[in-house]
Amino acid sequence: MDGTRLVCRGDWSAPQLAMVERRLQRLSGRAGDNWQLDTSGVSQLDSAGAFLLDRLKRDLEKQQVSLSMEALPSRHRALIDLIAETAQPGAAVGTARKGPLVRLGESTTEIGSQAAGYLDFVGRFALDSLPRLLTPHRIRWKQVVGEIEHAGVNAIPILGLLAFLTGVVIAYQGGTPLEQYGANILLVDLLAITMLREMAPLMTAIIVAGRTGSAYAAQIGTMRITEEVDALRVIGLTPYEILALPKMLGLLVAMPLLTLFADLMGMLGGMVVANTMFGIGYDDFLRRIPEAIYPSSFWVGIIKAPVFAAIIVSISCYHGFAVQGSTESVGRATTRSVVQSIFLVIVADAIFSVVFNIVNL
Amino acid sequence: MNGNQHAILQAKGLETRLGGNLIHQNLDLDVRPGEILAIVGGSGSGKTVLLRELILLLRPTRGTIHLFGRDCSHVSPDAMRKLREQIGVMFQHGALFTGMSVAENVMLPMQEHTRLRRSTLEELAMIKIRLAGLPPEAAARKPSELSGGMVKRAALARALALDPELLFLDEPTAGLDPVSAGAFDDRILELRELLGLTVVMITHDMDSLWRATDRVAFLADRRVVANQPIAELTANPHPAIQAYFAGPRARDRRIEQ
Repeated sequence: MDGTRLVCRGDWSAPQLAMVERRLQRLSGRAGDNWQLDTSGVSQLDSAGAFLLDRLKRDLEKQQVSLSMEALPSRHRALIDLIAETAQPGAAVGTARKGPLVRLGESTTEIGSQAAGYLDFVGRFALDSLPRLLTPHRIRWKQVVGEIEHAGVNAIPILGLLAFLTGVVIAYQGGTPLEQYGANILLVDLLAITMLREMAPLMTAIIVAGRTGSAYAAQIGTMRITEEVDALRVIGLTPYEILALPKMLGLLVAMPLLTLFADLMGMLGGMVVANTMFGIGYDDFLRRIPEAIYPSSFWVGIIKAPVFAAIIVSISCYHGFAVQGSTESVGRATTRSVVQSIFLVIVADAIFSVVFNIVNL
Repeated sequence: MNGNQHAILQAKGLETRLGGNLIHQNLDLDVRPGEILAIVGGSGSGKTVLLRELILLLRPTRGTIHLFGRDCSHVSPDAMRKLREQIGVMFQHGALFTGMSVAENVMLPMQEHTRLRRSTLEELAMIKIRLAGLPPEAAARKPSELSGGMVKRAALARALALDPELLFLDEPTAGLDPVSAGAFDDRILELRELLGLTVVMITHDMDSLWRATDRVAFLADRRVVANQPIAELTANPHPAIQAYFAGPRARDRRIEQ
């Protein structure tokens, strides 16, 4: 039928157009029809409205229906012309999904390249730091002390509480079966071995990785985004040394001390439970300790601490320096640094156990 | 839209204190529909603070701001949403969401404020991206993969997403080379014609001031000391204005004119 009039009214701006869009798509005509568009009743036409009208015209043309826009107010025509000019039908936004095989391959190669990148970082870090370490007066001791305060002193309350509670738990769990055999006093041995050898260093490492490692990764990552790292490099400073070395030295000092503190708090927690639940007096407990602990148990725990510290600092700084481009990747780097630090700490702990077993410690 | 006599944006008696510093006092500003108004002033004269107040991110200590004829000091969340639909803002450093592609950045306001189909939104986003002067290939890229000039254009595309009546630009041409900056000015003029925009921008760019503005509001002594076309402004005897336009860069420009 000739002369069909399409009358549009009201507000044709984007927030109001959802219904209109659906109705326009249902419109169809017979081949050879001539339609007239009338937008004189449209109070407001924005580019979304203009786009819908332009698309309608194109859709109708596919059905060989012509839509005449001659009667349109000139403002509306100008806008529709502009949109028709700039629109590219079917232009893809280009969010192609990757297949599962591609993603598997990518994540596999990423693990490999991450390991290589980490080694590369460790090498460069050592290369940058060595000259400083050979001339100790040039080390930034002020920053080192600052790091000890942030990573060590400030972690004391939370670490103390957690180590105390761990001691309490171990004493509870271990005390009950020992009591059945009347071997209450061996609770001291149990506590000393588990806390000093394993739990205290591990707890400390986990807390430090979560508290301090994440902060390192976030700080360095943000500095990458704001180009501060590049600025350091341009000034002629070596960012690995200036940013990572004080953290490394600081944590190498702080971690053994924190571990020692966790030892004490864990034993204290166990002692309280031993006294209240299993009838081991404080004096008995304390007298038993020298017999229960070989000095090696203590040292085995403490010696792990600097190794864990080195793992945590190098992993979190590596991820910080690997940040690129977006704020999102700072978040990713932070998460990765914590997860991988803890993972590697536990792996290292397992290796320690095997090695100590071999050398009979 | 309001009648031509009515200001689309009107600030009256603004006073701003930030951390004990008095930034603005008794500041008045009006923006007419369809004009391109530039806000200029020396560094630290409170231009960015004023802009943040005008886009309702910061509440002035005293005074009122009327947007589209309504008082913005007490706005319900619903009305605020409506107001936000009519305002587009391009931040100085783009403020593009780094986790998303350019196209997704442009689509985000549309997704939130409309219920159009995704395919429609994608095509609309492509239109805005091209209107802002970006090549279509840029749509799929992440902001970190764009050059400085492209970031500005992408930010403009996002600001245009909902066809705002009022567009705020914070130093749109800062950091662009003269050719790109000129092209950006032309783009703004063209969009004003095509979409009937009203534009408020902060700029230090003398070329932009001469080329793209209808009026220039000059900020000094914590208020707007003059709001007039650039040719008249440069002749204004106010000492701060004279000092501003007597710099070597501005002088060359004036001789040319």
